Amino acid sequence: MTPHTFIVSRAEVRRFALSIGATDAVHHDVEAAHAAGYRDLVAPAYFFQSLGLSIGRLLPADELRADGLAGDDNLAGNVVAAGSQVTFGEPICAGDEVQVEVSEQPPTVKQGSKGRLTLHTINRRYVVNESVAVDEAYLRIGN
Amino acid sequence: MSTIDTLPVDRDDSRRGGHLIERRFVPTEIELFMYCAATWNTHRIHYDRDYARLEGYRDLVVPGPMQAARLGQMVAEFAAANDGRLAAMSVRHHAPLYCNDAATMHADVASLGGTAEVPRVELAIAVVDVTGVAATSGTATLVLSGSAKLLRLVDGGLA
Repeated sequence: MTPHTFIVSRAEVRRFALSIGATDAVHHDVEAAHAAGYRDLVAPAYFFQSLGLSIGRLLPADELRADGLAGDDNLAGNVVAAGSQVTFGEPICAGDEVQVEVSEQPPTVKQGSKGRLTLHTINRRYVVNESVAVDEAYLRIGN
Repeated sequence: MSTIDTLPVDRDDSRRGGHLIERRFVPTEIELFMYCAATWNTHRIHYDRDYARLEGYRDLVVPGPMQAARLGQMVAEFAAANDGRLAAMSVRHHAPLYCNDAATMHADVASLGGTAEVPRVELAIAVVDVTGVAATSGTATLVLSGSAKLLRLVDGGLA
């Protein structure tokens, strides 16, 4: 299991919130977040994506494939997100140190209507102060 | 601690087009850029129209995780407004959702569970494209802080 550490900034919380149309003040205004009982700007529920999806993808352009994915990406061909299963603990806030533990399940192959498909399941656990904030199973599919 | 049996709930709320929660959005190039930048998603099918067509798509593809994030935000805001929280969510992506196509997100009560003290509501959720095809669907589990809110939910009394 590979651990990754992120310190969540207010700018990252605001940026992700805006990217999904989350305009509530608790994501953007520190005083509003405090008034709502949060220790700092509270991240939207799916903010963890901005941490987890970047793992392994923060690469120079010349280390990316023609399709824009990481050169060492283990899925080839037409690759898309297939789904996710997420359980939530306490919300992530700006200033939090988030430890992300990543593991992968063995790929499974099945025959789809357009041919052979390989399904990869990546498990990511996001831990703040030794408490699990998010437990994610992320599914990708390729041919 | 008493237990609330899981039971199906039928709803017909014309105020929301028949759905407990419903939001419409049109994912534009700018919004795809914002989401891909925030998540460092460099996959060209999300920002390079010619490349997306080369891969067989008819237009830029809205990232599946972006659909999940928007659905999650919708139900999390609903939960927060009703003294609850989003406890879990599971989605599958079935079909591409394309840039600039109007989409509708909706949620409906599928079942009730948990306990009287900590009731749970399971919602059936989906993102539906302009043709009525579900691009993404799944379930979201909300935990409410008290039974009073739950009863109001069953009675259709939530704002």
